[in-house]
Amino acid sequence: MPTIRIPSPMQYYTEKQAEFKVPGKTVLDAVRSAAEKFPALKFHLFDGNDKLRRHINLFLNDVNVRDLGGPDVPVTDGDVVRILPSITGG
Amino acid sequence: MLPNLNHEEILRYSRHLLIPEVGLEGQRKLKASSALVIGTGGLGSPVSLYLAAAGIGRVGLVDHDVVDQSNLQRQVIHGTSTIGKLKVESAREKLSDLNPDIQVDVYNEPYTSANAMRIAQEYDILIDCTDNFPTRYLTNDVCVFLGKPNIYGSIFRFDGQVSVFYAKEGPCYRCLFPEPPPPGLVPSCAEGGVLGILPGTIGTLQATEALKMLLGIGEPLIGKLLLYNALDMSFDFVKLKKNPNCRVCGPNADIRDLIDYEEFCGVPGRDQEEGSAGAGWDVTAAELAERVQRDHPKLLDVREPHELEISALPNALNIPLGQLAGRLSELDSAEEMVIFCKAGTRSARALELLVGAGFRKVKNLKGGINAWARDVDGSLPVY
Repeated sequence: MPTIRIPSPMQYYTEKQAEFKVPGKTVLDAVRSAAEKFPALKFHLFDGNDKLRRHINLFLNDVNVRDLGGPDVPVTDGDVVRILPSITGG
Repeated sequence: MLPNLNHEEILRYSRHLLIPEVGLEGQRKLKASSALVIGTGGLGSPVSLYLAAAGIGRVGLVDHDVVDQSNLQRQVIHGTSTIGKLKVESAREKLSDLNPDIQVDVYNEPYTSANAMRIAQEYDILIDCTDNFPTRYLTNDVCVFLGKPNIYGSIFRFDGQVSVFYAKEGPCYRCLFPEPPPPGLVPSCAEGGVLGILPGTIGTLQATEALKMLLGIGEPLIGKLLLYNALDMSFDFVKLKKNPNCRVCGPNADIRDLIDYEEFCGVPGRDQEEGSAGAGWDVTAAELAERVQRDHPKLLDVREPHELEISALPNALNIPLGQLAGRLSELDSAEEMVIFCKAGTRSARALELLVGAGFRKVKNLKGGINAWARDVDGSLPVY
């Protein structure tokens, strides 16, 4: 199973877990699995049409999935899926 | 022709001159260079201090705020003696004392589409030390249009991000974040909090990148994003590439002029007061106090649960803003309801959400529970 890494602004919704393993054949599957495991995450990751929110980037290891063809890129054991939202504090 | 250094400057910068990668030539480059620091708060403090110390010839400071006591937990360029003073003036005093040889320009005005190009064109490099999405997108677009590097930094609670967005050589900010989040979804430091030391770390990293760019040394973070977490002291890097569909720096860019960034980010216009939901939707703390006595409206607190330990109103239902959309079924649209948060910003967003869902008997507590603490119940702290 891949590991999903949660940014600290969202760890409030994952019982403070920064990373955990989730089932999923693709990056998007893995993110949906995380939202199923922690339902409070869903609002922050997906919009009302169940699409990934546009300010969220997903990385497979250290590469943006946009550069790999999109969030349906396959994942394997050992891969890390990173959720990266925009933040704006200054 | 680079400016020479006098004997005093040679002494002041001797520790730079001793580094082969800087040397006399590098220090003269710094003296000839200029940087615009947009924001003189948490990030702007270490950025401007270290650039001044390094001998950047000209530093511009943009901010239209005044120093507030709550700033001093992290905005180390200011002090108790400058509370109430314009931030740019407070910062200029400190920088001029640190290094009287540099030129410090101050811009006590909102940084907007009306003035951004005029201000920015004077400087070699822009440093994004802002605290809001509209200004970040504005800063990015200005840098793309003027062909200047944008040294990006942002923070939240324990996390920080740093990169160099330089469209001539790599991605811009919009390549990574084509769109902002919906208003209210990503809190500011005022709403979500921030570890005070965090902007010190991130701002110093931004200053480092600025110096590397101006000196032409090292490997700047072009095409890379540094992700820092203070709790586990991790420094992770992810790769960034130009987005071929970028609307500002891409080959088919359709944004060629500055836009209305507040409209783009969905935030209220500047003529709408902070902490207000707009005419007809607000109640003041005094008005709410009367209504509580008279007809007991439902109170909805949209703050995070840990904030209730600081101050709370009795009998208020707590549904954090981030959960509200998924918990509308817990609310009765037939009931009169007053929504509040710390200062009125999140509750204004909550009100918009509820009105959009068909709720009509809703009001926003203008100024939030802080206004209640100031005007009604002084036993509660303002935070």
